[in-house]
Amino acid sequence: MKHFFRRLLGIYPNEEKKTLRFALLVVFWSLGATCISTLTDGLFIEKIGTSLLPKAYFIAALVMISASSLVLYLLKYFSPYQILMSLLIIGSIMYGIGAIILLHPPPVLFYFFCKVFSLAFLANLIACSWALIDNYHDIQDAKRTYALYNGCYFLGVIFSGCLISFLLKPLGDRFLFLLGAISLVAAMFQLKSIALKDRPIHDETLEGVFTGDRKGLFYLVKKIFSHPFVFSLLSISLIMQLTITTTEFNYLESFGNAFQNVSESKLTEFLAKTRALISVFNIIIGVFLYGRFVRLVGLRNIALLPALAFLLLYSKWLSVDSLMVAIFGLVCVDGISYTIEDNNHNLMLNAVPCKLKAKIRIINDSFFEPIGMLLSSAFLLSSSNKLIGLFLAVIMLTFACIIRATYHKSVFTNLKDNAVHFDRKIKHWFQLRTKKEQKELKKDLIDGLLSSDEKVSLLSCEALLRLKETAYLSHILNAASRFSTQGKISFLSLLKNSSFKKDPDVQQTLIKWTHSSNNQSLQSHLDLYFIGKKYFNAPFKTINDLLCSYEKDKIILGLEILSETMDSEHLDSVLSLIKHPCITVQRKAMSVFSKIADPKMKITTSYLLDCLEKVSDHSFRIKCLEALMSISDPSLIERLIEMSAYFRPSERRKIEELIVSMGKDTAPTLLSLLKDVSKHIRSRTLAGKILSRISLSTLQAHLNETIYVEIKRAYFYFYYANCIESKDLSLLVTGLKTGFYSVIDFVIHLLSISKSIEDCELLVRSLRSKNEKIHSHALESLERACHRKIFKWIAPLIDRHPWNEVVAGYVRLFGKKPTLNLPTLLDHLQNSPRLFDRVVAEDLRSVYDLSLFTEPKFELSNEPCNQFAYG
Amino acid sequence: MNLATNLHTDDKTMKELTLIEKAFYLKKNVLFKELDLDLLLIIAEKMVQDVYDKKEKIFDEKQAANRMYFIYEGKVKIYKSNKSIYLDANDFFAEESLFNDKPRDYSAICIEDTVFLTLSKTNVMTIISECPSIAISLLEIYTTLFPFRHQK
Repeated sequence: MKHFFRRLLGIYPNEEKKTLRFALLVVFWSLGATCISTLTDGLFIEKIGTSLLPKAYFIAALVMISASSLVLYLLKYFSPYQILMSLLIIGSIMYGIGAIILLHPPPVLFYFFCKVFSLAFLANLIACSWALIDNYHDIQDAKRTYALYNGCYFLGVIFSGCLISFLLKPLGDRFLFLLGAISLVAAMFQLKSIALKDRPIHDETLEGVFTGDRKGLFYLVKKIFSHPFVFSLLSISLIMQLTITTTEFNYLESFGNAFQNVSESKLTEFLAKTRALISVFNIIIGVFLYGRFVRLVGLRNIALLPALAFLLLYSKWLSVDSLMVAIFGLVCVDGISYTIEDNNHNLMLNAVPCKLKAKIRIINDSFFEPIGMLLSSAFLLSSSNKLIGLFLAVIMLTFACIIRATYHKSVFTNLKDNAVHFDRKIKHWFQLRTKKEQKELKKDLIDGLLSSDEKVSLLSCEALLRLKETAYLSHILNAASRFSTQGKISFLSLLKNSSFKKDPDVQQTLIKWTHSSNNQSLQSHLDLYFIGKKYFNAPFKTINDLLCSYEKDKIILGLEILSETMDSEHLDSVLSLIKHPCITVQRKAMSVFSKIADPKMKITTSYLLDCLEKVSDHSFRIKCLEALMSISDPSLIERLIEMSAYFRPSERRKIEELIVSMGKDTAPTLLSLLKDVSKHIRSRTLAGKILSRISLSTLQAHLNETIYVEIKRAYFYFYYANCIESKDLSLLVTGLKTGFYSVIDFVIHLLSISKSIEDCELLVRSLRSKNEKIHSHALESLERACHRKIFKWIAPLIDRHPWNEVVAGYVRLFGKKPTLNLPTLLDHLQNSPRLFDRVVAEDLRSVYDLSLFTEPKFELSNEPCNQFAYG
Repeated sequence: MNLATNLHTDDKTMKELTLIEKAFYLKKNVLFKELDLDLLLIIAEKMVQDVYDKKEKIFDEKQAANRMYFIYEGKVKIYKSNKSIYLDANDFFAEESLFNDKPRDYSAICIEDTVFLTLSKTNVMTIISECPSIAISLLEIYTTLFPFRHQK
């Protein structure tokens, strides 16, 4: 039975209790708040009449705006939980007091106040409740459960309608006020239960969930306008409010005309019945169908549906004003906008930058309704209301198209908050800034030159030298003249690598230092600086003697001379020094070689690759790769990529640049490396990445066949890793899990590379993240990057899918259920291309007497997979 | 020149630190002082500036941990039970929970108006994987704090 309801509602195992808690919270507060809201509507008309209704709406709109502003301000210091709890306390107290006041006939002002209060209260309650729900759900949870919670809201409305219908006459309005207060108290207890039993999903931009953001209103407005997705989302909300009010007016007008010669109560009855029927469909669609529809078609496509519906409505309405069209208008308002559009909006909010999300929700849920009421009341005075409706529908469709285009980019942008761009240099940071910001940064650098802290001053010098700011050279030299000896030595090394090395002003300053300083260390560094000049025409023997010396300092002097003169006559000596026992000499020799290397030196590539493999020093490797880039020998690609598996990220980036510079001729080699399952996963990933840069079409053409093989391997590893429970086989489980992680990493990399996603590492890391919000955003981005079929294959492995879906996936790929016993499994691993698999298999064979293991010795676990199947 | 004095204008509104100012701060910090200019700028770009008022709580014990805090300006008290430690500008704290994946082991409160530069957990891990020297610097600090092995 539990399984049946789970499948019916589309939720996952272990989600039932959490979903029920939130569903009950929504039911309780919607029951209480809508009961009082409907009651006060009726009481207002009965006791005061319709003449003061426009005034009540006007005051209610102002109160709603003020209350929402207060909530927005309070979000800086308090969490949605605290604000929602406070709202529920205020509501229950006010309605309790209302019940007491109703013991005796109250003044007219009481009903006016109740009307205004209930409108403002309901709007803020909806906004804060959703803000709280956002804190406990990520976007993947949202797709499954938000429509259900929306349905629970309508359920609360239906219950409140039933309570009023059946209990108002026998028990009176004060009893209903009391019931409303009790319902809100029940919501408070439910909220407390959620805070105690459920774990909020943190956003890493905030400390915990409940830290307020101190940025002001101006910052918020600036952020909204600078983010196309957020701006479009808010705009479409506002346009929707205007369209709803306009459409309501239009269909009521049409109904009025259609029921002109019929008794008054018939129209009310007709409206009540139609609305009730629409509410039933809302619940069915919201609870059972919407989530499935989103997973099938995609959220960004459903976003167009409401706009298209209104466009169709008004296109018809302009030509034909019939009852059927008016009914369609009612369906658009009460059905499509309240179910599809509201649910769309709730899900789309997950793509809003995390710091803005709660505020955007408050703005949308609390401000736009009263603003919509105010604005539409102004233009509904004209006679061309249907034309206005058509115009609004067209604008809505435009914004819906923008949302469709920017949704995935916005989701990925949220992820990119965590992207660290290690390949960027200072020039890049400056280029990203406006002219004003660049000026400010340069001013900071000049101020830094004057800093009493020498480290800061040196940093400023380095930055200005790298920016090649000739105008500031005199400032730099003045600052450097104040440095300590060690500071001056560091400054000399900065100058040597800069474009100002041979600048006359620099040379003059340094000559002054030569004459003014007695420090031997500084003098020797200054000598080295001018070494190019001194040894420019030095004979071959002089330099050769230095290079062949047993003294390290003489060798380095010789290499310094060569790095200035760039003389390739001593190539053999330099090459031999690359393998010198002293690492300083190795680095210097490689640095010199990288300067003199050219494409004619292909004969040295094998030698260099040997050195690259044996030496783990980072700066040596970088220089070696620079030398190989100058030589540009395509025959080294395979070996280089194989080696890269054990290199640092920056070294792998260097290899990538090296091979990309060789051009499209490398594509066949890269493709064969990519497909070779015997190669290390990191090597294959690098091959794929480079291939995507030089020939994306080749990669895309071979993607499916490559991915298919890897997905099968991933299922194999994943299935057996999760169904072995024996503690004796923990090494086997570990081996299978590592196999799974490395294969699935490779698959994700390939998929994102093939779609030219800017930062593939970010996507892989985010999918591995233990933070649910980051993980869910990454899933959303991956869904966009993949073909639907491929995503369906890998989804059970990377999301929290039930175990039976993993098994179903295995059967789909392999054509049969998994049936391997231990000996057969070890046979498979022994033939695996992965070394670790073969090692594990050998180890277990040596430990266990497998003749005893003819039957499956490990049991299938019936528990669903880990919290994250991946990560 | 004390950069920190430029931070507040006469009407006490907080000026956003520029990328270069953050890089200068990092250069003076014990964890990042050995890094080159490019790496400092990369890390500075990920640092988020935040201002807390005097007596404002930064986090509570047992709260979930997402960020590491570097004190740019001000003073902070970190405390647990009866023990407390005071931290000043250029100190950092709150990194322990990022590494051991547990909730906060202590509470933190501002003794005076304080400006922080914070790094998220994901960024800390990414930066350390690219620059292992930062992890070495952290180990050096920890080993001076706990000279005797396994001392608690």
